[in-house]
Amino acid sequence: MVVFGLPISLASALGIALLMNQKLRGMAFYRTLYYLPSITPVIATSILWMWLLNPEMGLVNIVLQKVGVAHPPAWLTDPFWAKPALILMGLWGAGGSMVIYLAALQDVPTSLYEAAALDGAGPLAQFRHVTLPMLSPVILFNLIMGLIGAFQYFTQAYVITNGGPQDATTFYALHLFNRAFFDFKMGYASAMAWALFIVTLLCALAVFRTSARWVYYAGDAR
Amino acid sequence: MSGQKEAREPRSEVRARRMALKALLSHAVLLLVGLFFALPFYWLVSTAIKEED
Repeated sequence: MVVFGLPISLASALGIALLMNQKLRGMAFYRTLYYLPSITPVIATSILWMWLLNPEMGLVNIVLQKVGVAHPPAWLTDPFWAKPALILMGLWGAGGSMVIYLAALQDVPTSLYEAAALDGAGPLAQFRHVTLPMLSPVILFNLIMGLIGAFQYFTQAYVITNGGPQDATTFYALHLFNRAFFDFKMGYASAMAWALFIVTLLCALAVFRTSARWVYYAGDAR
Repeated sequence: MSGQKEAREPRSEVRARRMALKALLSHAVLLLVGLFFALPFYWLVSTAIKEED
């Protein structure tokens, strides 16, 4: 979830925010539509996706069959597809990060784009040399919050798959919960919780250490 | 003076057409991505109001 789910989630939230940052009619409707899933309770979302990803009567496989996929994946009952299914489900709630990116995008001064255009920068160069540096503090924030959330990934796996199939979705936090409340090995579970805290802290510190190289704070005299 | 104005008009027309095409394309992409967010909700509500049999 940390290695694949987090980068995909960050990139898609940024992509959606870029789509939302246009002066078009009906944008408020699109913003509401895209943000709605992130305010839906996690349990309700989990149960909804459990049905959507049902191999026989789920909407996802019905749509896949209609567009010509003869043998759609078994998703949550297939050890290979279970994690991608949870990542797909996570993308549905990308609206929260999208709103943060959007706020940052609307804060980028237009004078920077005008100056870049005068220097001959095209849309891609403007994105690479203006948008990304100006968004970097927000990318750092979303990265740290996403990192913490991904390490503690629990609810969806507990509700939808309960660790299965063949332990493919037994995430660290779920394993910890099972040791504590099924095996009643509280000491072992406590040690696991401390290990999780230390690993999360080390990863967050590593990201902060590298942030000096890629995060740009406007007005910062460094 | 009037000749200059006439020469300018087609360019603004092309620009307006390009802007309209860009807006249309943006709406198409937004609606297509929006389906991913809207369809589960539609399915949730439509399933909830179906009769049991």
